[in-house]
Amino acid sequence: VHLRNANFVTPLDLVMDNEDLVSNKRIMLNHGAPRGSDLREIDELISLEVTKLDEFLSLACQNDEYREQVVAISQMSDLFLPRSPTDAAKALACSLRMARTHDLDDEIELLHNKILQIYTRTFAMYTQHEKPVCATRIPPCTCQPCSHSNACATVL
Amino acid sequence: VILVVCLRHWQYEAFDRIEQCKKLQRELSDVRANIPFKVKHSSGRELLAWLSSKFEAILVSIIKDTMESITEKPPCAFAFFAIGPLAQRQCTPSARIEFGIVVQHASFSVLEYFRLVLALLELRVINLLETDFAVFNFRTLSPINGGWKLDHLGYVPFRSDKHSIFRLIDTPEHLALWQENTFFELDSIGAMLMADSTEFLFGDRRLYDSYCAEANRILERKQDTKQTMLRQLRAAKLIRNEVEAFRPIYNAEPNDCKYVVS
Repeated sequence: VHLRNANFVTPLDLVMDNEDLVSNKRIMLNHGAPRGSDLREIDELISLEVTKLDEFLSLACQNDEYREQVVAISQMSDLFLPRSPTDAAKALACSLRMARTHDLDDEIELLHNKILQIYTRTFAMYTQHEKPVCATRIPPCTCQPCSHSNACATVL
Repeated sequence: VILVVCLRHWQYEAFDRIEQCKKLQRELSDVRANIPFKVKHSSGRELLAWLSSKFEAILVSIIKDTMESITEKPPCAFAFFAIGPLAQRQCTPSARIEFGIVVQHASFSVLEYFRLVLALLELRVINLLETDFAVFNFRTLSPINGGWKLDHLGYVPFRSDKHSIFRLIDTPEHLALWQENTFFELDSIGAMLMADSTEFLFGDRRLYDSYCAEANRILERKQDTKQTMLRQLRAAKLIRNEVEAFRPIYNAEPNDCKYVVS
């Protein structure tokens, strides 16, 4: 099972290859642009695709289609990855747990590869100083007597 | 040839990382599987202490793996320490991971390094498959029940709640500032946990000891003419507050009319 449209395009491809997107924004997204930067169109596209996957997931849940559920959650993880590797990892963990419960060995293999991608992605985001929202940088403070703590600047 | 060697190396590392991840998952599920047996054959306190020791071993193993997975060496000496239930040896099966870091210098580059360490550490914790994430039915249900996981609202080095200005990664002198009255008034629970409920986990033990010495120095400062220590004043205040909060209110209870003096 692969969630693709008639042209064999995945939800993430739909977001990334959207012709309305300016190319530099697509490049920013590919390199892990921090949330809060001006990428609203991309966020809207992602949430639109996530909603579609949600609907698919609900149907799959109602019909006890486990493989479809695993794939849908895994693709949600793909969509989360550009903006939040942590959320992507959490979704992937859910998918992996379901795949193990229902002995979907081929999917487990794919999911393991995706986990490694998330590690690589996170490493790249941090070493290139491009951070997701959970890692908001605390600006260094120059107050006296404490030379670096924001808490000291506001409280003491 | 170089490409092939690099690819082989990457494949080996990837395989190694997945195997390590599976090993930790097995360890954690073994702990869970043994809980019913322990419940039958040991006291509550023993059970909590046993769980704490197991969780501590897994956490230290994750921290070591994470530090080793980064080629760059740590920019200065550091020490990880547990906070709360793990330090008090009172972990429940669904305890959160709470810890802090003492560093020799809290420069920008050091904090950046540890941000990366913590991001990778969080991924490893998520891959233990005990972090819930609501993806079902328009994201209201999670296929995973929440278990041993990191909580950004709890006591972790870079916190993301209203008290996020109090990061739990700093030099011994600055971490000890939690014990000052100004900080105590803002987050008394955190200050009390940092005073008495911490335990060394991994790294440079001397750094952790110097933090403890610094915190004790503040807590043992004499406060008034009676030469009462700050520690004693806080304990007395805590007891007073508890007594006030839990005092019996006889007249407010319907069956206690006998206590009403007419």
